[in-house]
Amino acid sequence: MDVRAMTRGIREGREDAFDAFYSGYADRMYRYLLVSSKGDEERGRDVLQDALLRVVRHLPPLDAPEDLWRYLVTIMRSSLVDQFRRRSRNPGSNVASPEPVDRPEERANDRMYALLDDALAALPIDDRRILEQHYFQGASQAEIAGRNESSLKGLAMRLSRLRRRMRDFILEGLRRE
Amino acid sequence: MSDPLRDALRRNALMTDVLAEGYLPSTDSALQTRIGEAMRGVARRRRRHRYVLGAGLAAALAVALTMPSRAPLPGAPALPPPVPVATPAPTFLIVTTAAAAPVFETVSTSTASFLEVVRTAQLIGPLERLRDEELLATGGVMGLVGHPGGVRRVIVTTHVQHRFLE
Repeated sequence: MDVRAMTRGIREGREDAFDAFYSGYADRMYRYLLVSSKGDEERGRDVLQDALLRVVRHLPPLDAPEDLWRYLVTIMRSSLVDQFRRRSRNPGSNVASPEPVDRPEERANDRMYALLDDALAALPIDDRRILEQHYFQGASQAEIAGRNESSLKGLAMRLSRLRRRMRDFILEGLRRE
Repeated sequence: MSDPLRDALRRNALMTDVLAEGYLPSTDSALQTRIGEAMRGVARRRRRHRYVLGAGLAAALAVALTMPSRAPLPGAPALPPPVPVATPAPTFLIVTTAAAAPVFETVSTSTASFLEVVRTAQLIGPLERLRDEELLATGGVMGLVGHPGGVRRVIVTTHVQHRFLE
């Protein structure tokens, strides 16, 4: 579904338009918010919900994907700032200030991928090799399991564990900024 | 496919899988349901607002178009008939009309007086049309005091029973 049909469909309350929007943009928005909220997942989820509510309430008809993303970024920044103000009024809260409002998405993405590289580099050599074989050399899990003399299930669990470790590394890196 | 693009896609796949190990909105069906309901509510309100606005405009337009040729409403209450005002029988020269129902008062005069004084603030056609000289010549009228626009006093003789209505 193109952006034109999607944005108009959401304004009309059409389910298919909303589903297309949600599946196409929710994860991307959350990734942006993770960087903007400096790895604070709880805050990222709160702001995502707030931003999505604002989107379905106020989304104008748009024609181009870049226009839609620009609109979403504006909404997310606004939600971030509002949430920061709300939490600042709460004396018990400890919340980092939002990223500068003029930070482009490209920079946020660059930061995420830089942290991904760092996380990969920080892994022990055997673990890193497994991930590189699977993701960068296109080897299937069965092939890698055969090379490492492990079961397929064992390899899947190992891959999952490594990805979790990398995720924690990335979020920790964002928090440190 | 060029190597940089392939590398970018592979890194993106790794990033997606890494992030998918934690919370991912695309798998959060509760959030999707909540936002979807909000969207439907907003759309409903928007439709209702549009409907009310459209109906209001249509009604205003219809009224504006039919106003010039509009008949009185059938259920409209009838106006009460005018309250009849008792007017004294004319015994003297009639210089006004009963329909005008002028408000006047008789000024009390001495019992020995042979004059009756009637005072009114109204100016009524017949009297206006008459000149003072003509009034005085109609018999019984002894004098007319006052000026147009102010209180007038018409003085008539008592032996002619009448009130001079103005």
